[in-house]
Amino acid sequence: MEDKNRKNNLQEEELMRELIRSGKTQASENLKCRIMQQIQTEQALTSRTESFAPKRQESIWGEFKTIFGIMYAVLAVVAAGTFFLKGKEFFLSVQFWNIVIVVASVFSIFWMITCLDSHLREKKEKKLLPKKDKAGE
Amino acid sequence: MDERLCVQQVLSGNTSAFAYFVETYQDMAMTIALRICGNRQDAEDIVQESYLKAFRNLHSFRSDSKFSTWLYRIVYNTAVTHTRARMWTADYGKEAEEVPALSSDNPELQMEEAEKKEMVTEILDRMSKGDALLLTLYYMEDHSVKEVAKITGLNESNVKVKLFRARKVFKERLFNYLRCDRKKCCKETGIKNGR
Repeated sequence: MEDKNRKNNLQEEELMRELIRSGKTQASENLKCRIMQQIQTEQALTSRTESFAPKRQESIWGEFKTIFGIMYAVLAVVAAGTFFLKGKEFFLSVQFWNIVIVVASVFSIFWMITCLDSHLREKKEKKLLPKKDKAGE
Repeated sequence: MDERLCVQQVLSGNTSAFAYFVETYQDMAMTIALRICGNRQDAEDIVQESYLKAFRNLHSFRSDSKFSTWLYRIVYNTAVTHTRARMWTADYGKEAEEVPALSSDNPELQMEEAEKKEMVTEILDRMSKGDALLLTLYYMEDHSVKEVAKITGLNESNVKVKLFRARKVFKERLFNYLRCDRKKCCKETGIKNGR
């Protein structure tokens, strides 16, 4: 009797399985293409941003070197000019150090503006790229 | 094909290896999404979004579970979020809008298959979304109770109880459907004979 019941249950389960399997939905033919295309686009965009990041780092470092290089060149020219025009004593005067501070401040502010500009540009570009979602949430 | 190897290939930059997962699991993903949202167009969008999420987060996939279980969990969550559906309350789905697919060359067999599919879809559509989904997950791809629990976020004993009830409801509806079908058939024969 128990065996018969078990057999019936198994048959019932098998029938259910067969019935429910027959109700499987077929995905449309172009769905796979759509998914793969989107993934490949995403991948291309990701690799582009990844290749941009070190370039940006390099460009900031390059700007730093250029701006402060020019600053030291200007200071050297000022120092040479004052040495030949006003002599060695002028180097110890407050007036000379004021000129040095002004030149250094101007170039530093210029460098700060360049950094800020590059940071804002990076932020804007990040906003334009698709946001990454967490899976399963 | 070894799925772990495929995952490794995708992670190392071979995007086209991901096509294997799309091809293998898209039908079941589509079935799950359709069970939850009840509309083919939305279901396709959900499946597409889910695959994209899976691709983006493939690095977080731990091989201690099957890839299919992980993917179906994403599909389930995306569909629930997308439709804001309440899965485990007794609301009843819409009428079927599916066109049955015909797969065999034999027209009689095709008809039989189409009728069977229509009947199952109709019965499942009239059940609560949660019950229909549980039956689909459990029977369609032979997932264990543990895997069904992982996909739906329910605990195992809860899955067992709900599955038992869902099975009972399905059987009742199937019985009613067949009885109605027979009555309709008898009526039609009666009309024909009367003429």
